[in-house]
Amino acid sequence: MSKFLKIIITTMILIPILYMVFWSFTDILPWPKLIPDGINLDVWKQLISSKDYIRTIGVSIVVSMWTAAICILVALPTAYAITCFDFCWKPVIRGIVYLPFFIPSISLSLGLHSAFLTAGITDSIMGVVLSHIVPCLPYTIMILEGSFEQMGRSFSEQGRNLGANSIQLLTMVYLPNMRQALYLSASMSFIVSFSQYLLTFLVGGGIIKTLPVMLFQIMQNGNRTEISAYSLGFIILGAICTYLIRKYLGERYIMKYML
Amino acid sequence: MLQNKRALPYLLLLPFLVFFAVPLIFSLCSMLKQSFGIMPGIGLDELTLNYYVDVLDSGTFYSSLGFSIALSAIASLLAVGLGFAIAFILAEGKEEGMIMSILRLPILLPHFTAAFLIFLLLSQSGLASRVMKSFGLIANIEEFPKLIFDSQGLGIMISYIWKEVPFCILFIYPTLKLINKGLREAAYTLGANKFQYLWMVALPVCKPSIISLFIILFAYNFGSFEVPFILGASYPKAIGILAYISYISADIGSRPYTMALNIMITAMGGMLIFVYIWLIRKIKTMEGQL
Repeated sequence: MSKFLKIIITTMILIPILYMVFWSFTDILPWPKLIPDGINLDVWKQLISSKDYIRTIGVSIVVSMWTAAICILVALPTAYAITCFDFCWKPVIRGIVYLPFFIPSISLSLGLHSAFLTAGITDSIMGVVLSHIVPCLPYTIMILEGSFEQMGRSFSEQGRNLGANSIQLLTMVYLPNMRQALYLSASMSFIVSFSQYLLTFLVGGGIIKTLPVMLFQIMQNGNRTEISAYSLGFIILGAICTYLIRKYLGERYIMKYML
Repeated sequence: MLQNKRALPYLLLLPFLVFFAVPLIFSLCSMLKQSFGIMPGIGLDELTLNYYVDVLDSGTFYSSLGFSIALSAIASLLAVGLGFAIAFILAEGKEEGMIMSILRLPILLPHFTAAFLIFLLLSQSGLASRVMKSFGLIANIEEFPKLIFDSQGLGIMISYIWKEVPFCILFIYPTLKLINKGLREAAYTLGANKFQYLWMVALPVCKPSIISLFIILFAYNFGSFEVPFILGASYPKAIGILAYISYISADIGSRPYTMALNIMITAMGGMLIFVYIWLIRKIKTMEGQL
């Protein structure tokens, strides 16, 4: 039963993805043909040599890296405050943290755009990064909060007995034990920002072009080969970036700079 | 020292307030303000509820609202239900193998890519239709049922389900695996059969996560823009599309109307928060009883 189910799930997940890979190498395939006459590499060549594409990748990575970095720096003290301190506005703060999970994304995007227009920070990388923080931060805080809670009060009691103050406790007791959570929350906020379309499109005003904005433009042209190749490019880049985050944040960064 | 300590949590929360709470609350307030007809920039400065009346008067609002609620309710229910059933069967099996890594794939893809995959597969000229033709099940392209751009929103639902079932499995599976260690043996020793174990042990234990999953998915699907934009029909429009079209219209005078519509969509999400908080309280009291 379980084995049979595994085969079904694997097929259901892999067939659409593999079919997209297949389409990215196919030129034209009129219905009802199943197999094309030959392999077509034009779109891949065009994708690799396109300056516009390279620039878009650069913008995407810059935006998402900044977003992830700010998210971690903001979420760390927030999660620390929420889990390890008692203060009177705690339920309100908690409520605000998880608000973006419940506000439908369309309202969040349109609301943020109109607010950013008033503040005059649209059409810039900074504006886009600041707007991405809102949908990304709840995930980051959620993951870090879980990590603090898991370590529990015993960690802080031991640290305190050895004479650490609150800041030392954070940097010398908690942080070195949070590698997994830090990596997870960084890659989560990176991915959420990396695949953000509507918010980028609105706040960036079409001037700040990230990969999802480009992909959406291509989707409106409706060429299956092109969409397939660009989608795959997008997925591969996302995977590479999260791998690098894991490698550098997970192993080196924390060890070298935090300790 | 004591005073210093009292200030510390607030100090720690400062970046959160600056980067998150302020933009979020500012954007909600500016939506609210505009929805009440206050836009000094274009000469509107009288507080009015007319825009809400306008939204509630238009027929398209109700058809879109009904469409979006039905669509997201069905998709979320199926995703959670299938997710629980599959997780249960997988947890009963012995080894995991590759399946957990494969289940992570759809989660990594953004929703609009998932929508495109479903389009490649199920549109009238898609893979399914081609395979059926080659087996002689259909004679021409029109015979394949219209699953994409259809007015029932089937394509949109399938795309949500494809992406969200794995998410539910990965969420529920660890819980099931955990109870399998103790409660499962106990249930079987006491003479329960597989069905009784499912109904009287596994389901009640997973209830909290099933309910919160449903609420999270519902909130997401309800206000999603990308998937209905790619796979939806021109009528009925999902509520997210309705808000988007109204927002990007060149007529700035329609902005208050858009914001009134937006506030109502937000309020729907807000209601879910109360449901969620109520459920969390209930779960906590349940845990207290155990």
